[in-house]
Amino acid sequence: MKESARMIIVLTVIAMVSGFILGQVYNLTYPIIQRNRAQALAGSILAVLPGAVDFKVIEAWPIGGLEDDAASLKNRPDSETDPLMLYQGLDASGNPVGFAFVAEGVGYGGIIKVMVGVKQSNETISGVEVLEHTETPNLGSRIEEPGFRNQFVGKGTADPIALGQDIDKISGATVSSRAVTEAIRRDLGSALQAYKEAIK
Amino acid sequence: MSKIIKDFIRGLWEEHPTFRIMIGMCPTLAVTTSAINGLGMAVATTFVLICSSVLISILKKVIPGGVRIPAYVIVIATFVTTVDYIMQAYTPDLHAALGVFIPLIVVNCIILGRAEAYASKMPVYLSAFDALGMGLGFTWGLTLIGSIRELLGSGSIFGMTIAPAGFTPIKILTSPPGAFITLGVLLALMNIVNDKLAKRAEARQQETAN
Amino acid sequence: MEYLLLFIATVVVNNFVLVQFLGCCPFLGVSRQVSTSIGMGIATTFVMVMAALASWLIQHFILVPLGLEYLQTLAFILVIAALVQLVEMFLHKSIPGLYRAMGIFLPLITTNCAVLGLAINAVLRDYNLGESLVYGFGAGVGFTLALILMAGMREELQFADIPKPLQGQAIALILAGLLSLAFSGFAGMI
Repeated sequence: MKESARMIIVLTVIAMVSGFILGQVYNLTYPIIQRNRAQALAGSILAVLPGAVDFKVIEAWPIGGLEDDAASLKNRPDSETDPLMLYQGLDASGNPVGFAFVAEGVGYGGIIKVMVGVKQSNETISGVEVLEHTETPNLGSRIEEPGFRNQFVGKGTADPIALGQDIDKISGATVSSRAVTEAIRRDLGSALQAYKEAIK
Repeated sequence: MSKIIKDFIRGLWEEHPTFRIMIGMCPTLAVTTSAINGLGMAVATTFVLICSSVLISILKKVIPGGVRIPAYVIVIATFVTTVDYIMQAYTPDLHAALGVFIPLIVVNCIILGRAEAYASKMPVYLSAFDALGMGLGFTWGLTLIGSIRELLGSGSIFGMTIAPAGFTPIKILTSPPGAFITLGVLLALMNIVNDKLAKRAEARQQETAN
Repeated sequence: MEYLLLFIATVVVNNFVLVQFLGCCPFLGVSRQVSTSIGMGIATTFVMVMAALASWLIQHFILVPLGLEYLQTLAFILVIAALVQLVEMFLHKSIPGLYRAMGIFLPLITTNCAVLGLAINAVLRDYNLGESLVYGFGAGVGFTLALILMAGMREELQFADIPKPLQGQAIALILAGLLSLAFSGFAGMI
């Protein structure tokens, strides 16, 4: 009895001390991690909206929104009821130059997130930055290269935005190229619509 | 004193975790796509290894035998999570590059293996040096593999492009098959070196015997 | 249908061992004979599915509601260790022959990076319960597949004339590289 009691006590004490230490580490590092994230996000927004020096966050609702009653909203998956985050870029005089949104796709190694900037004046893409990816270095990771990303500049909802049509893939990285291309094509229309609704 | 030095040197070559005992293979193959990734992973692992070995050695009399594995796991996991969050805060790029393999340090057989086989039985200072030796061995191993793969696969080292303009990188080396092949070839080369050293030692022994 | 695609993707396209490098230690250590590989594969698959289930439950009912995400690594590895312990006890009582045959490899499933790796990945990719289970099962099947293929090749290798420096793990690694190269042909299939 003594032996098993001792085992349980020692293990519990170690577990509790562990939990406590980890809680402290988390509290200490959390603000820094959040700051890093915010800086990276801000940097990418300004990078895809040339002319923007600041930005404003707009929460937009891509689907119906207020027309749906609470009951039917409850049955929708999270991805449809979470707000779409749009980042409106403002120039030095405070005028909007366009907006940016995050498009997500599943690549070869995991989820790829790209920030897409859209010009206000002609509703075409003004820039694409890769936010997160875990693709193979030197192959899939080449989606970060300006040569690939700049292909999307100037495209709008009227363009096909598809591999083999108006977008060239990176040789040896079809899956990664396709993930980015499809994500942008899929989300551009709805993001644009949500933005126009939001600034009405 | 000589025991400390012997324990320390052991991990650097004779009982090298990667090239001789062949444990901790997952990170070795996965993150060595570049020199800095290999180095970063190895340093993080070494930190966890040293801290865990020291703490487990200190607590060895306190932890009852029946629950020693769960206890070691909790200790190791605590240090791993700490390193995870510190890297996320202060080296976010490296953290993103190493990805899921940072929390996977907790199941790196090197750490649990050393804790079970050594730290739980030896005094603290010996455990510390053993861990340091193993960690440094792991570090030079991973950095070497990462450097080779980065040099031949991307034409750069530690991010600096040093290959001449006409050099076509052997792209396969930075992808999964390349990891296996690089390590396999390295092992073969080390076998050759080891054989030569053994033959020379044998020849020397024969001479002194005559 | 989506589950089928997820399964195929996990077994072949993103094979845990040959593409994602999860589960290398047992892959290189156990894969000498086809028979042991099959046994190891089945036991590991079982643990993986249970681990996928357990980690999903813990993440969604304990860690997230209580804001304790930073305890994820700790919680998951403890659950996996407990699961392996349970499997060990169960086999010891019910199928002692298999228990003896597996020997040291059974507790080693705890340190198999593939098990913890799949738990963390399933949470990272935001899979629901069904997807997590399929992912766990696919991971196990892919792992077993890689193991059996490797073992089959190494059994053949015993009759080959291998230069001395390459003998042992060196040739095994190069073989694994070729196997991985073959599997990389599946990329883009789905």
